Amino acid sequence: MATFRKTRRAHSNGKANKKAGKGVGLLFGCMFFGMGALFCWLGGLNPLFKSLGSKDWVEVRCVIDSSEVEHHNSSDGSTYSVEISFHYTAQGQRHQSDTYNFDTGSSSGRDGKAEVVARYPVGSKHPCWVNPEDPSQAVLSRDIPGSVYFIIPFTSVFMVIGLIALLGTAGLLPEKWSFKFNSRHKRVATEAVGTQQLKPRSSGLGKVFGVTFAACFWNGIVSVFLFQVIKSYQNGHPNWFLTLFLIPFVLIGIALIFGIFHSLLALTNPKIELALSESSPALGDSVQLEWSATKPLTKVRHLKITLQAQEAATYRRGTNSVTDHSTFHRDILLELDRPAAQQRGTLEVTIPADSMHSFDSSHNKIIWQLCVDGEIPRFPDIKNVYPITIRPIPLS
Amino acid sequence: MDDTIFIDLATTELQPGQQFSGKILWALDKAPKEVELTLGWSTEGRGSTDHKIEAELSWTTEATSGEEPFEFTLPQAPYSFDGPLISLSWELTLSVKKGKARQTLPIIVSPNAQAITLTAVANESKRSPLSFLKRGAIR
Repeated sequence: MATFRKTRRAHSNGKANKKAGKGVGLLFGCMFFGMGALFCWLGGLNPLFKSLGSKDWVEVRCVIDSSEVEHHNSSDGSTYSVEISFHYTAQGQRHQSDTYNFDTGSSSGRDGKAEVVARYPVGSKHPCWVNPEDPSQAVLSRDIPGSVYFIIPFTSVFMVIGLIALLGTAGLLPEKWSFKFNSRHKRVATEAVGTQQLKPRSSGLGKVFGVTFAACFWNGIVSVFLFQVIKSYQNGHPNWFLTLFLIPFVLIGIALIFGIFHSLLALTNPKIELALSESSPALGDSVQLEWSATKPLTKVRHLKITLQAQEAATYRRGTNSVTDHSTFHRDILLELDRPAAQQRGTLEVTIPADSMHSFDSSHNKIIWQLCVDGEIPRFPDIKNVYPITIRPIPLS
Repeated sequence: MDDTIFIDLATTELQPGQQFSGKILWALDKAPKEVELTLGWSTEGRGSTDHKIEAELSWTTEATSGEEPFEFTLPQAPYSFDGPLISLSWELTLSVKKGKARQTLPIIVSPNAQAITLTAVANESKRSPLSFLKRGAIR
């Protein structure tokens, strides 16, 4: 018979994160569903129901008083609407209306609206339909507005997404649904690959480009406000609030510029090349690690090579994605003071047999890496990380 | 009668790559139409949950009670493990298409019959990015 065992679970901040995640999920779900429902009603269902309900409206003759395409300016661009006003007589009284059809919004595409307006020149007579219960309501066209056929399905997608988020957060989705969608999982290699030179996680040039891009982006935005501040001083009306507000942002910008020079200087450091006799060792394996420096290490005061393994757990905190790390294995393979005399060497590396192999899924990873740290006084340090794959113990 | 479904497995401590077999049993008020058994793993802890179904079996049946043998072959990885930030556990899940009956049986997949325990090591002291400006050059 099967026996049931309780396994110890990792609880660090798990409950707090789950509560926060629930709050975010509910907010996200409410926003998506609410906005979708609002626009579906306003732009889709309301005009649709009105159009369908106008089938018993009475047809009368109306005279066009004005007819034009109106232009609306918004932050998203220009939109247009058909604006036609007309008068008619219903139940013995003269009425005025400016409702062409049941579509109350405006949209892009001027040509279609201009065609409609051209069909209703000023002074011309046309049939219009009057609400027998409220003769002040009349339209020139009872047809279902074309926008309804687009707005209803489009906004329904938002409502479905919001509903799934709400149900999922409240735990009301059938369990089978949530488990059907597998997380991304990159299977760890199970076969040895032989000797390979290891590549660092990020190249020195990559860091230079990254820091330069960040500095340009940050300082580009800050400069717009800095320009406003300088102008205010030149005009004799200094903006003190903006000046004080900008100080931390300017300091960060200066630090980023400093970072560019730091990373450029780091490019001139000697590179440490690593090669493993088996670049994808298994748990319990012993392998040879050959290291060599591309330049003399005369300026390096202290050199260290470490084998390290970490958990990396990614979660949402508000709108940000955060990754926490915890190191569970650290083995110093090489530690040299003033390594100038030695520019290369071979080390024996033993992978612990009772540890965890490399693991890579959407939000959780086990990362093994070789870290090279070289302390250089009054110069950027050598700091490189070489990811390696640790395989599970081979099947016997 | 209460709905009962059950996974009968001789041991829940399994080796990576191991082929294992057992039985599923069910006794339900209504015919389930389909009974499904999945083998998968999920993570828990600081990071958002990841999960994967590695294999699944299903039986179409109109019988309200019965039993069926099953057999799975475990992949070589991942192992069950328990760390400060992440834990990964394997499980067999038995469910029915018609009805809410469901049973989950946790299993351990590891070379040494228990989940791998990971213990955090102390962080290394980090040098300040500006420390390179300090004196102390090599003479």
